[in-house]
Amino acid sequence: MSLALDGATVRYGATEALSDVTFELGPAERLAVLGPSGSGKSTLLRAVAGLEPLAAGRISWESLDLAALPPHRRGFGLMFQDYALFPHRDVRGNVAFGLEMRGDARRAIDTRVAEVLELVGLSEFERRLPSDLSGGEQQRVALARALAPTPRLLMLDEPLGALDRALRAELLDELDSIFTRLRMPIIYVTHDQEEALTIGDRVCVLRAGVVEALMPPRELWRSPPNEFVARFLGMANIFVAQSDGRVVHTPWLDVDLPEALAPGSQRLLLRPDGLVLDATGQIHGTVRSSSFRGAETRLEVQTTEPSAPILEMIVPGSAFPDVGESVRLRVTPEAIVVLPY
Amino acid sequence: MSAGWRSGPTPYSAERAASVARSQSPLARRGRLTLVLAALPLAFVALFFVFPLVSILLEGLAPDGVFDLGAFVATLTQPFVIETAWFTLWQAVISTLLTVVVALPGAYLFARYRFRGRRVLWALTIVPFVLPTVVVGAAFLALLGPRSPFGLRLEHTIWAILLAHVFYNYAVVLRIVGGFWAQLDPRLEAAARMLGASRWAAFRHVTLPLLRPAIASAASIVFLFTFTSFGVILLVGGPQYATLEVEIYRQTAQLLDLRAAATLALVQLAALCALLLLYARYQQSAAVRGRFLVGRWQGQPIRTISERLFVALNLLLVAAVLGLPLLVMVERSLANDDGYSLASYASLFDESARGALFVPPIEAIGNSLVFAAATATTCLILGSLAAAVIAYRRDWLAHSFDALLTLPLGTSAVIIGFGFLISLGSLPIDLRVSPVLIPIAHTLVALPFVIRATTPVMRSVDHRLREAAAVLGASPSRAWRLVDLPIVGRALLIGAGFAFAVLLGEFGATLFIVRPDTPTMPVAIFRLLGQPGSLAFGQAMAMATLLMLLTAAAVLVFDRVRTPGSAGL
Repeated sequence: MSLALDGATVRYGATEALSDVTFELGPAERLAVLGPSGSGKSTLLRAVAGLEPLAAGRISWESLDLAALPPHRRGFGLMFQDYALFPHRDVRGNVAFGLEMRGDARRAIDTRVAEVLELVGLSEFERRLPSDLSGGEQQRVALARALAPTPRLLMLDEPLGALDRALRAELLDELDSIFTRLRMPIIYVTHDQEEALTIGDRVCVLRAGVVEALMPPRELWRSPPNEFVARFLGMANIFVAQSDGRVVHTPWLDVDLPEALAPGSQRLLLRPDGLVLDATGQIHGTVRSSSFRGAETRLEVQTTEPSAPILEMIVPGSAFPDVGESVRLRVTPEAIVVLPY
Repeated sequence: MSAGWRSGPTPYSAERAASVARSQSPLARRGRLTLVLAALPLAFVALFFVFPLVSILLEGLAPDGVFDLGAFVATLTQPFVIETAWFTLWQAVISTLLTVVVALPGAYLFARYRFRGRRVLWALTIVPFVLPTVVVGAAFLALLGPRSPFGLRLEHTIWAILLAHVFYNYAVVLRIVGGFWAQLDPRLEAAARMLGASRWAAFRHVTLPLLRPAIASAASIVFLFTFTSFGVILLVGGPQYATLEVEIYRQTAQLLDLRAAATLALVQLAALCALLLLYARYQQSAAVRGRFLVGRWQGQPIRTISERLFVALNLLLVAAVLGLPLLVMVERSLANDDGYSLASYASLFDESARGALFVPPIEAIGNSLVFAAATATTCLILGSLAAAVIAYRRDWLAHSFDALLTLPLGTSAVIIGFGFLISLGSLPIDLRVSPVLIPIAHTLVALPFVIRATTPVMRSVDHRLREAAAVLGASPSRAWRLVDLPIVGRALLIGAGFAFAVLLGEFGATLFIVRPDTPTMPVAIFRLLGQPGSLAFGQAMAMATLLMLLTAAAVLVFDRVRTPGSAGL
């Protein structure tokens, strides 16, 4: 165990930006914090960094309470959203800042700066000013600056948020491999589910300062613990059904579930990967819209039964039915998740 | 505008209408009309600014009609000239440093924290800056002088001068640096903290270097103001302290040595030119480095105990520096031997209590209002003519015209007054015996401001509005009257209004040219403060309080009606 939060709460006046957050971080664990804007993600980082005082609870490092330790003594690295590079210092000046504050000798600083710039692939950029760098280069400088003083914990606030889509995909892979080499505890804040699922050993979903889920990414995807988390992960097929033990009934669907379920009214999630185009399928419907994304296509299907919902599904490849075409869908029972009612 | 409207058949194309309207925009092609418009302001500035300035030059360099550099150098190297120049310089340096140091925590407070009453306080901090120098002098005499309620005796010391300068210029540093600081990304400082920098180290290595352009800009303005300080030094400093401006006045009014005064004026002019050039050059180089600004930030609430303490101490400091002198002045205006009364105010009306004045003190209020109104009217006329030429005729002629009209801003009121005194006697009509001279001097001081406030508004009027009027059948002059005038007129009125407010308290130029029987309020306060006895002191305090209220009211009124597009004064 490295970092531990126990009931950490941050208040801005009357509003709670962070409510009663509790978790522990393993010695080389990567925690992805996922949530919409205003959910308290950045506040969480700022609280751990010591930039935001706690109204209640405690944050500790190896069982030692951090409350009295000011930010500059915590030895944590924080990479800010939009990077916050010092505009009056060149790349070297930015990366060397933490080492200078520590009082390192010039020689040692030179060596370390060269080392981290090499790690992020910017060896030739020492004399450039931040304003002369592209977004991706700034992002790397910010990472190098945070890593230079070898922090015991690395925190990143939306590190890819300001970049365009193609660059994001590329840098996400790069970050993943750098993190694997670093073997240090990492908190990675993002609003993008794909980033969170790629980076995190565990994913923490925040909503209005409250932890809604905290679990490994695969588990999170397979069984989102509640409707908010499911919808935030982009799952929209949520409906009410009647259960009689194993089988659930709706006017448009009857499914035999693999596991027993309490009888009565139930709120269910049908994951988009749980619907398959199948000429013998149980559900009849019409394609309402399709959005082609290259490797896969997202379809919205209007089921023919009255009172039936619009279902969302993902079809691999480019062979998909046109809008207005009639289709039949089969349901994979394993893709049905029971949500708290 | 819908696509259908655009593609519909029109008698002539929109492009053509636009080009017609633009080429016929008022004055654009009418060189002769521009010259006619420019003639009046040009003649005004030539007669009342250039001519007096040349007279000073001649008085200093060729006093007897013969160019005599040796005599000029002899006057220049007299010990009192060097001493005065040296004092002017060092008191300005110390005043500037002190103001920056005192105002910096306040700038941080307003830039970074959110607290109740923040907006009101921010608005109030500007009050000392718009107050007449004489009111500031009176307030500091009340606080530190022989009748101080706290028994402080700092009048006629350098401390009183420095404190008054801090009081006067606090808002300059607060506004410029605080405004800039609020735009600075607070995460830069947080980033430094995360990299192991203590609060102080983060300030020193990150915030301070980034603030430098704003601090330098504010400091140069404060330096300029304190370098040309006149009223404050004359009132608070006493006989042993004199800046160049004060010495010009003494040489003229008390020692009657016009030649020495002219020499001092030339030294002052040279110094001002150098300062303005340096400032302009610095502004140019600083503009390039200004790109690190990020979007607006709302400020953080106050939460920890140390933050609370910092805010409380800071507000206390602001209250003590800015509020206390004015409060004591008001208190002194109400105090008499046994408690408080309005006796001092009542005595302003008293024929027998005229003291140093030739008229009952209350007449000074009427004089000031009449002069200020006359000035505002002249500014309105000359300002609209000049602004029209500068705004619509964008060539080198308009630029040099603009520069010429701005020149009085770079000199000082004292030099304008002194120039009047030595030059206008040679005119066919000796204006020096006429009270008209005061509004004329004031117009010179205020005109650059009015033009500055009006020209951008005139330029900013969307030419499509004029085009729309043209397409609808209005002739160019009619279009201008119906479209531009309502917008520009407002800016002009506000400019003239500010001129009115500021000139109620004009002192430097007025003191040279005022007639004994038509004193303005600042002159009356100055004369009353020079009188012994508690009656004159009470009257001075009462008059200063009235002048403060009048100025504040005028500024507030015109600040309220200010158009969003106009540049403030």
